[in-house]
Amino acid sequence: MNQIYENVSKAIERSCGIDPSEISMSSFLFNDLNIDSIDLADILFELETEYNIELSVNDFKHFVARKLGEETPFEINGVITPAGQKMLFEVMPELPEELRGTRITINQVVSHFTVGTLCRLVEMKLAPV
Amino acid sequence: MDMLIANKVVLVTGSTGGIGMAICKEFLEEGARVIAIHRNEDKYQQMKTLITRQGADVKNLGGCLMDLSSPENIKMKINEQVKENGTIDILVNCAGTAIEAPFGLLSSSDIQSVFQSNFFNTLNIIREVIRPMSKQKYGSIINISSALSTRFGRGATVYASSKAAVNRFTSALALEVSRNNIRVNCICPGIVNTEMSSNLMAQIGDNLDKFISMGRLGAPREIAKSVVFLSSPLSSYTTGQTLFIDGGLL
Repeated sequence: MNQIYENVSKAIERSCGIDPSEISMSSFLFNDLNIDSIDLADILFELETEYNIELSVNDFKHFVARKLGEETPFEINGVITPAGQKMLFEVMPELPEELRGTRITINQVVSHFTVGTLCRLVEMKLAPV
Repeated sequence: MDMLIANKVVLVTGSTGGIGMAICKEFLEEGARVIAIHRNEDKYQQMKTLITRQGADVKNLGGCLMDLSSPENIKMKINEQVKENGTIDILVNCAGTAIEAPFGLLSSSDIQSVFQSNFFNTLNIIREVIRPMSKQKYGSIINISSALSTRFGRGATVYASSKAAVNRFTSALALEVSRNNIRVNCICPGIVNTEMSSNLMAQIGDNLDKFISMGRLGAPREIAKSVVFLSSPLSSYTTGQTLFIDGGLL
């Protein structure tokens, strides 16, 4: 994971010019590092090149949905189901506790991505299915 | 003049149409590697024969059968092209459909199909091509729109509005992708001597002077020349622009 963190930090530095000393595993991309969605696409492209994989912000959704199994829906019309929320909070402990039990949309989840979330996305993609 | 695009990998959609064919030929003459995206193998072979007869050297021309209405098919085919050619440097979106009829007589599926072909298909392929272009920090995208995108359009309301959407998409996208050295521009041809314009030409008859200040139709090659220029590093500071090539439409 340390190596992945190094590479994620480098990708953020290359895409957004943010000094690695300002980046930590718990930094929120949008709120702490002031990254926007176009920056995020660029960071994902950098990581795709580094690891020769394809990344999408929706990968976390597919990962949680796979863990839930086919019988239990993760989301309905973009809104995460209670079962989906339960699993999501396990996979993404960085999600603010006050969101639990409220109506959470996929886009809201993306807005809470941290550097650690990106590291886990890469780790998930590298792991054998 | 060296257009500085020798060996660049160029994708052209709508490659078997009048303007698309001229664009392929022009890029080949500049030494680029051209991948002619098409949906009909026979038409592609006919196009290849025709431009060979016109003197083009087709050793750098390849065909790619693609269903532009299927995002999955686009993704698969673009990935194949990137693997095969190592990169994609230039994309020219020339595929399109026109339906000429009073708006009140069009069905919902007519409207859908024109927007699908002219607008959504364009967006779908651009989305896939931006990925490799962003990674290599280089790319040029040219969307072929129409003079009808800003003027005229009686009897071609849906076509005109779908092309207006292409213009606006071009200028907005340019702002997003310029950070990765990707330029996006748009060309709006006027009345060009092609099969697609045949109905319009029949209506105009011998009255060209009344409609076009230069008094003649455009030739596909005259559009293709500008496509090559806007694709090449010679226009390296030009992005988000719409260039009208219409001989002075009146």
